[in-house]
Amino acid sequence: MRAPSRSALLYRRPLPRIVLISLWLGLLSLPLMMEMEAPYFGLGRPLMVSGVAVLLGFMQWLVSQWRRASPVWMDRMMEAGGATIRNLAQRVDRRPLYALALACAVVIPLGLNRYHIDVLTQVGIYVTLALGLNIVVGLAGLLNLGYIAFYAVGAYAYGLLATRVGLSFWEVLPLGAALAAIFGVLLGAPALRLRGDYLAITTLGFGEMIRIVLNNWDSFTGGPNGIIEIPRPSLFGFTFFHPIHYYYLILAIVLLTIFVVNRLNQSRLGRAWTAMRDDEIAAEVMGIDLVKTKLLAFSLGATWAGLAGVFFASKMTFISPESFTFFESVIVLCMVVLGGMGSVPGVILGAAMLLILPELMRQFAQYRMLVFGAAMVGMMVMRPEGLLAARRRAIPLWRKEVSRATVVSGPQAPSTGSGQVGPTVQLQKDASMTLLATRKLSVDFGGLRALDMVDLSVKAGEIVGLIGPNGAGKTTFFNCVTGLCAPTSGEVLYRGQNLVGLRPNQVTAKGVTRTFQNIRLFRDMTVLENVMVGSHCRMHAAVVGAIFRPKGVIKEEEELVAKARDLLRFVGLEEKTDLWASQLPYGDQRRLEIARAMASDPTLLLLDEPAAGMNPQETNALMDLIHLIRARGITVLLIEHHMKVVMGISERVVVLDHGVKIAEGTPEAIRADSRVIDAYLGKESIRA
Amino acid sequence: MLLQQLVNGLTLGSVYALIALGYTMVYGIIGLINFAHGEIYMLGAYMGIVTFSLLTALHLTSPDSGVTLLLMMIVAILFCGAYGVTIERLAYRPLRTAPRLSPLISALGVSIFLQNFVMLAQGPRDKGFPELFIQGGIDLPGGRISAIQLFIMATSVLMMFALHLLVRRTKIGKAMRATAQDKQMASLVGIDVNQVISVTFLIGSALAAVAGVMVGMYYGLINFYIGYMAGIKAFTAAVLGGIGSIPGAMIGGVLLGLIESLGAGYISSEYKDVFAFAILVLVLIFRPSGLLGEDSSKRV
Amino acid sequence: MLRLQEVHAHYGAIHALRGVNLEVEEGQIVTLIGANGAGKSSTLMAISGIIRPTAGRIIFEGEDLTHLPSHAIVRRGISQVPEGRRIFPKLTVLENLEMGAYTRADTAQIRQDLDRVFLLFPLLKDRQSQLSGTLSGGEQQMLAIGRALMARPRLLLLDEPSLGLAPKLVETIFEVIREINAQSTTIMLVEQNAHMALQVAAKGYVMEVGRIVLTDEAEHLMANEDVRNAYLGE
Repeated sequence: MRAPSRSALLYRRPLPRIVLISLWLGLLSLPLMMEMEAPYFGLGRPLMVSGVAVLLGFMQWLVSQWRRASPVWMDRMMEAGGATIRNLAQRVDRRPLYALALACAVVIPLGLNRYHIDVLTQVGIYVTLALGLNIVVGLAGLLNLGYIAFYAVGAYAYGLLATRVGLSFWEVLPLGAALAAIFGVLLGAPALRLRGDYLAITTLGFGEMIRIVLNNWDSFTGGPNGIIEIPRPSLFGFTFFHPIHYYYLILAIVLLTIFVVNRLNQSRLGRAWTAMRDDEIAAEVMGIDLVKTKLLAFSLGATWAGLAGVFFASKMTFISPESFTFFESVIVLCMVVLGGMGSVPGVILGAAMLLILPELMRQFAQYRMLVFGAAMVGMMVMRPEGLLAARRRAIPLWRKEVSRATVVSGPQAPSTGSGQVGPTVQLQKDASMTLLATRKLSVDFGGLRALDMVDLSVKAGEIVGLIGPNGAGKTTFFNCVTGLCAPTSGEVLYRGQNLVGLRPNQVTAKGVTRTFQNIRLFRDMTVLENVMVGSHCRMHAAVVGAIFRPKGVIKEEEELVAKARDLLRFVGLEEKTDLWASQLPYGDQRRLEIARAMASDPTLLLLDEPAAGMNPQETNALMDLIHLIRARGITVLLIEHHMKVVMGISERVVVLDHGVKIAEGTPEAIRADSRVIDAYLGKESIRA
Repeated sequence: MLLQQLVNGLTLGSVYALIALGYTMVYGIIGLINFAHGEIYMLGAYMGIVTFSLLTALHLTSPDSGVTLLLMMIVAILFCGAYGVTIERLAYRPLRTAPRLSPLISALGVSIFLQNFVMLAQGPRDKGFPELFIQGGIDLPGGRISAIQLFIMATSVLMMFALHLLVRRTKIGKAMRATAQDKQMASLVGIDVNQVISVTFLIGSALAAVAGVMVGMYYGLINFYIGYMAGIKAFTAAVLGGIGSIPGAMIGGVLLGLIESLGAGYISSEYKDVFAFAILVLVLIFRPSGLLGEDSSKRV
Repeated sequence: MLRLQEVHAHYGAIHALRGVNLEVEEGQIVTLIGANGAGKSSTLMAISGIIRPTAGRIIFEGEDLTHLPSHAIVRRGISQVPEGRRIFPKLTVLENLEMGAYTRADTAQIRQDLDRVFLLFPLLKDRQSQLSGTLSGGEQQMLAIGRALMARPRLLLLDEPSLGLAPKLVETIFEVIREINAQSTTIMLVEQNAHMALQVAAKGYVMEVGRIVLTDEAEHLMANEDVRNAYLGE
């Protein structure tokens, strides 16, 4: 009874096919439905199963027909709708809406009975959990299947500290959160190098290990019996006893969580997380320290679970390992995924739905998990982004503050040659300084010698072209210089310093950055934000700055936005700052990548096939752009196959073939060089 | 004592190996951790009971007949195979080109769904597995090998050998290996990659089904939750041996069974599940390619 | 035999093929040359069904292949030796060749073809049971070609067979290509090494930025200066 496959295009005759699939599913479930004690061939239940499957299939078929019949105008409508919402969001002040929601949340429970308030409190707990997991999974893209362990840490922290040491609730609240954060680092550190599936399984393993330890370490944790008689919170002598007291407490916690998570999301750190999620390699090259960023995601995500755990223990006054199973982790994950990964309102909606809907349908309570499972599959197959399409981040209010600030303060941010004072000055001083020099650079890939003793140097202020036939080792060369690949031997000297052994983000911090052959933009961020990420290593705002936003941080962000806009103007994309990076046409994407690279204030810029796939006009524009880049004081080394570009703008050309440098000189000399011609066209080749 | 632990460990290990093969083959060919595979094993066990009840109700056979057991296995294999292929078609194939997270979540969803489906259909309590004819055993100094244990080990070896022959000698087996090595090239030599993937799921599920029936016989009791634990452990075994490697899964399974049994006997039986998880985590962190896998190349 | 009509194809946002028109007659060797990134490999991938054309048609012996899945195209008689050899590294030489014949069921004929491949590449016969991942680059290339031949294709597509090979081996490969063609297999050859390709082919197409910009008999192309410009710029 999984939702039928999305590949509606494969259905030749949809209706009979759906019926067949449903019957097949009914057949599969038939044996399981049989009564064991008195076997009978009751067909009632399997038929019911098939009926549901037919219904789902029919609905899906309707949707696909609808989509096929009017795809274009529907897409346009959705785009227009999305754009309108975005415009509205920017213009309309959302604060009254939030105030209304808050008022409801405060007032309505006063009129509800104990049971309903309890349900709402549960929702509050799970919202906190989901928002925390959202940081790890939704923002940073790290799949953590053992998240509930942090919840357990918080709960047991309060349980133990309150019953054994006598600390009060308010004392343990921050302690529990901090302890969970520490566990977050402990669990995250070993798993840093893991990706995707392996990370998921490892975190699952950790989570289960913690549960088993809690279950068996009787002397410390009380084993399967858990901890009982945990004191309730008390405030100025008043002890909580009614569900409504707990409700307001969790409401406060939820508001705090939303506040902090939003602030983190809209900060330099939040951008780094999203960039890392979209493309780890590009993020690292743009200056993001992956280790730190991942650990921050783990620990900051865990903090909220810790808070929720402390609260949970104080409310239940009794905890046992049974509340912290793998299933709980899955439920929270479900909320994040179904509601929409990365989106705060989506996650809240997901949590609310997954908890309230089953309550509304009490008689179907036993089918709750069944529906969860089916919904997870269905959601992935039909709409992987989640309900509120939060793959795309909503335009933050933050930007409204910042852009208002820039407009008010006038054109203080320099609009020409901004931020390039450093390199330009140095350029004038060391006009003929060698910026980059590789010495005997060699790379072995198994049996293949990708680079063989390559000596290549680039002087400050030059534009150097690197060419060579397919498989010559050009991109490998770039990878070695930028730290993405470790050379087998040889050195890469930048301003006299050996770059070998440095991580890509460290190389970028030194002033060497690059674009990619296959364009690695951050698709889930706007054009402007892509460029802003490029400046990551030049900024200083950290967690505290993100949350509290002191003047210094705000100023930093303002300057960053101004610089980013300036760079976009420089490459000609100023009209498109608020589009999603994936919406740009191909030529613009290349230019955006260049702008992003320039945002890190490089002295040396490596361009990997910037003209690939461009038409003649775009190619000409690119050549002009590269000249302008050099005029700003940035030295350029580019790989290109498009000979018109390379020969047209390079002052010097280096030719690689089979990993060996075979020629070097001016474009004219290279074009006439017989070795080069042989390398490209084959021996005894065509002459004029 | 040692001998007994070894015997128990080998028995356990054979079962783990059978289930681990399913994980490793699927991962090798489409790079997916099939979370739902443990549930297939659980379904196999339940199918065994269902078949037995059906046969008894129809007065066709009795617990003493070897035919009963054979029929149970065959029915379990057929149904689990069907489940495996259906799951692949409905929950995984549409996500072939989706980001890595999606099929993983989908697999989790299938796992939860199947567990709860069986719980609702068959009840949450333990179900008794029918007593079958296999009785007795061999007494050795230091331990005893029961007939069931011998049967389990023998069947596992037989199945693994059959798989080995299939994968090494037959055309479809070679096609499976080729597809796992280079999917695009496989389609360029004319292999229908979708078909090969379905066959992979079919075989993996069949092996898990056999494991399920045998475990039912061994412990006498099953419930809807056995898939989860066995699944995790079998996956650990696959990772330990080198995920994607068939001999690796076999060796990993046996090793894990031995480690768990010895650990439970000599260190602590309460924490025996922790051993599996600890091994899993340690292997993934320090040597993700496992015992027989090659070091995956650095990304560039 | 093979005709491409206004074929367009995309790699994500990149418009890789922008209206490719070409024809291959039975029994010919036709070569497709051009600079890197021109779209030569994409053209072969489109023919083999790995990339689905977004517009245009691919017609082979009267049948429209444009939307068929790749394994079906192999059954219709088109085999490709893709760029980079791509033998199955953990299968033996013999097993690789057997995989080449996957679509066939006629065991006796397969045996014959196996002998024929061993005749063309005696080296492979000596190393039948060796794991193909341990072969040298040149041997792997021979294996890849042999594997494609095992399908008894009517049209053989070769993508840069000389890539990464020592000059002497390149000559051997091209001799083999001539030999295969002599045994009545039509060949479409993509090459960066324009010189050798034009020596062995009857007709040539020059590609630039996703389009065919020049086509002529191979001998004429060899003397044509525009070809050099297409590679090395104005």
